[in-house]
Amino acid sequence: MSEITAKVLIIGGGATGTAIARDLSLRGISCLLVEQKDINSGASGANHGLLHSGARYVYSDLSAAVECKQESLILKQIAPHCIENTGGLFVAVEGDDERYIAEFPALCSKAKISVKALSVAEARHLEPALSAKTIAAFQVEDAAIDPFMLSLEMMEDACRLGSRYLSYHKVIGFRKAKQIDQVVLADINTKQEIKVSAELVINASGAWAGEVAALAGIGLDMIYSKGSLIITQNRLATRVINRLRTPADADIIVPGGTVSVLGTTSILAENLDNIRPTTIETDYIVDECAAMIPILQSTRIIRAYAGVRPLVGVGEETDEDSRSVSRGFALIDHEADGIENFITITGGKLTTCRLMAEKTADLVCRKLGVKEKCGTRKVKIGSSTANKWTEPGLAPSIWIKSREGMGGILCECEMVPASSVANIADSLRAQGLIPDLKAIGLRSRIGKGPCQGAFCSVRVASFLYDKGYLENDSGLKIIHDFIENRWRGIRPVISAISAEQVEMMESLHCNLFGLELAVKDDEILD
Amino acid sequence: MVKERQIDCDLLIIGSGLSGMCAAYFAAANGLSTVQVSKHTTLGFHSGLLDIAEVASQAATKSWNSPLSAVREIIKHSADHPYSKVAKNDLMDSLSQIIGFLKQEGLDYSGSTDQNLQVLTSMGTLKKSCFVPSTMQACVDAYVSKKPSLIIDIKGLRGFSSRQIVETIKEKWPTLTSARIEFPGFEGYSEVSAEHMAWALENEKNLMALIETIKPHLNGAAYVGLPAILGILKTGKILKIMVEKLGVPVFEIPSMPPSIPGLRLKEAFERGLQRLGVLRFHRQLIETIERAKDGVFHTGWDKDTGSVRIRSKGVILATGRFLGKGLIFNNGEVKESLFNLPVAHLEQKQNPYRIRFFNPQGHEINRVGIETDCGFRPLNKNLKPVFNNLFSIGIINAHQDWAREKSGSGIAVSSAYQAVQTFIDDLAQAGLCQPKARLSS
Repeated sequence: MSEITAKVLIIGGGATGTAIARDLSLRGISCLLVEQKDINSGASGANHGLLHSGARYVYSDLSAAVECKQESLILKQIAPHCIENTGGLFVAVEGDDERYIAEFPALCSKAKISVKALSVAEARHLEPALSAKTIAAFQVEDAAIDPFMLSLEMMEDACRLGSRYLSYHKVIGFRKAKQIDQVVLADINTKQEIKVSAELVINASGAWAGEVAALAGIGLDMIYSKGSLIITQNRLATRVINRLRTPADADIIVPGGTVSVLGTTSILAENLDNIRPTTIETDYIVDECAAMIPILQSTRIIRAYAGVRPLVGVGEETDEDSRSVSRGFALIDHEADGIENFITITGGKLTTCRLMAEKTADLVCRKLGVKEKCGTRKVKIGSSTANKWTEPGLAPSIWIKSREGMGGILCECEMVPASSVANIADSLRAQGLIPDLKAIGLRSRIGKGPCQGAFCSVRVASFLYDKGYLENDSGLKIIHDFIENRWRGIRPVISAISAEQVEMMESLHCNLFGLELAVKDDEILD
Repeated sequence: MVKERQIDCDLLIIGSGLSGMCAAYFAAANGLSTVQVSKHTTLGFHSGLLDIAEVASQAATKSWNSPLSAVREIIKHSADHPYSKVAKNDLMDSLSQIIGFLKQEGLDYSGSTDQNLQVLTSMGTLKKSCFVPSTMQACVDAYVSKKPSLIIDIKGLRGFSSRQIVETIKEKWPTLTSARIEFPGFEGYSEVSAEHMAWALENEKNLMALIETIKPHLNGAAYVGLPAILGILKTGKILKIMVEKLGVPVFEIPSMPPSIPGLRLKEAFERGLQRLGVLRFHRQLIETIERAKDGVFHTGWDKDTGSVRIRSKGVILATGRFLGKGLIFNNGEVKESLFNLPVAHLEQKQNPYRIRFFNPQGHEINRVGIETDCGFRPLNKNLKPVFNNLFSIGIINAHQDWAREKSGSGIAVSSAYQAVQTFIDDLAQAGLCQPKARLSS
């Protein structure tokens, strides 16, 4: 059983955890970040990719609105490469609440959130896909952000400054008295245990915060609100399109490179098992969003996904749909619970991850007696070559400009060349991580196109073997797991065209390769 | 004035996948005037291996060495399986006839219905199949012997790594080694295509150059395996020369599409069917199809160059599933695309695909399709044949899961055989043709 010592242990590799690792690293405190799966496996990897201007919250939560505004400005300055500054529109259609429309501009002004009224004609000129039944429109400064590139780059910055990232390691226990002496981790794949000794432990595990805290004997009142989102085959609008009404389900359409992301829903979940989008939800999202962009009814949906928002209950009565619980965050110093060196940070939204990290890091520094101040408002987030491949359309544009030395295209749907895969695989190996297909898929566009991973999985795996990244028969399970991973997003939205792709996948991977026989999956869910 | 071409025939086959091609063969070989129409073919995805059955996937994951035992097990759990409608002798006879036909077109197959043979795939897994093409027979022997063997891959051929194959199977076959070559004439390309290489090897000069490139890597290997690129029309001859010059048996390893062995099947069928006088229309979609009161089917389409009208005494639907576009999945329903033949409803509340893609039991939707009688006539809701002279063959039919059972080829061949036989029997009864006891080549 191996042992590691770290100054600070961060549990959770989402936007919050990686932002904290970066903040602390900039202050000279090196961290070990452990994550039960891989970067952004929770809500950070299952959201809209929306950088809020704040206008959405002016009616319901003014302080949250202001926070979003300030943080989105900061992020646009420090992480421009992770952001497409699309701008946004708020639109109302026939039947929407006229009073809300009337009060909206004044509320935005009160929060000093930039807003500009447009005529319906202007709005439909800017966004031709908008419904003819649009009755009002306002322009705001929403933007689209790539949460994967963001978290990967923040973690990379932290590692460059001396921190370390360990994926597929789950916290299974704490040894503690008045403080946590040791944290026991288990490698998800090998089941081997690692003991970590750290001066301070931060629970940044998002929706899992309750589970982790419970291991330390602390009760957290968690509410699990599941949200599903769908992705369309093409990008329906240039800008973020929001519904101009009291925040509800299926209000937002966010551009994501070459596609659009639509959502979301909020359904109370009992626990964190089996969080999957349902056809009822995906149908609902299409119907509701189609009120703003009618062509949605006939647009092909290529993928659906779901995540759980971590909401800390504030002890009040909550609505059926859990939306009324504040989306603000909770920073808890468990000294109050009798453990001196344990902090929980949970809740919040992607847009405010830097702020959440700042507040957490400030608390950490106070407890550790470190005087350094937060540097993340000003210091730009790094832009590494290995992490840039999450950007949609980047690979094809580079390939078109220069095909030399790219080594052949491995993923034809998204035009990802062998050189990018090598880039990412090298980066993973340098971090001590296994360059398998899921890890590479997370850091690139591989498997996100129409083939659903059927062909690119084979090409990428054979490339990885050629270059010595994979040994023995590990490729079988790696391909198997990658395809199952892609399948999660496809299954809820299988249409006429994807039924053909699924048949092709079965013909290749079952009939010829026999993967369903070669790889035994312990977890038979269905 | 628009030209109209009128064609009268006994049997119209719709579809050019394996089942459609086999039906066209069985019909023409028995003296029926036959027309075949298709838009696409899925043969480009066929591995070249003719399998009967390996797994009774509904019930278990047991992999059977005896294909007929697998069939028995499958029928036990699926009483309406296509195999349940075919007598064992007819299954065996149909396969041997098709293999004989392919042999005449230069594609040799070996194997017997006594046992499934194992061949290596590019994934490093072993696939069982009843009949294997001559280009893969040596692999069967090599694996059984576990002798030191060399696996070659080609720079730029994506998705095929000899190192992957060797690494994956090394516990079972430790004496396997790998080497990489550049295909002569294609050096320096970052990507090479299997089709280009296969056509290049039809030229003996290129074949010799390839052999010279492989030779230095032999190092005492008893067998050599390589990607499936050994020509398309002259495969038998190319294999023979390779074995002669290299001095060891050589085998091809099936991989992801495009499948050259599948292409060979397509070419062989096209040549053979043309020889037998089958009139074929490919890349053609049928625009109208109707059955007149006298039972004759009227099929047609219009082109700039004129229209075509076909009158046939019978029609065989061999249009495949979703990939072949014989079935469409839309709004939670599966529909048959040409006649709107009845297809069982899917459970409304449930997703017809399982949560786990690789669940060995397969997806519910795979078992949905056309219900037929023993003669492979589609049935209506009252379980009576929709038309006595309309047949549906191959994987479009219900109660099978070919990709999990590994039964695609067997279903295609035997259902084609049975449907044509049924049609001939009907014609004979009506006094319209000579009866035959059983189809013979």
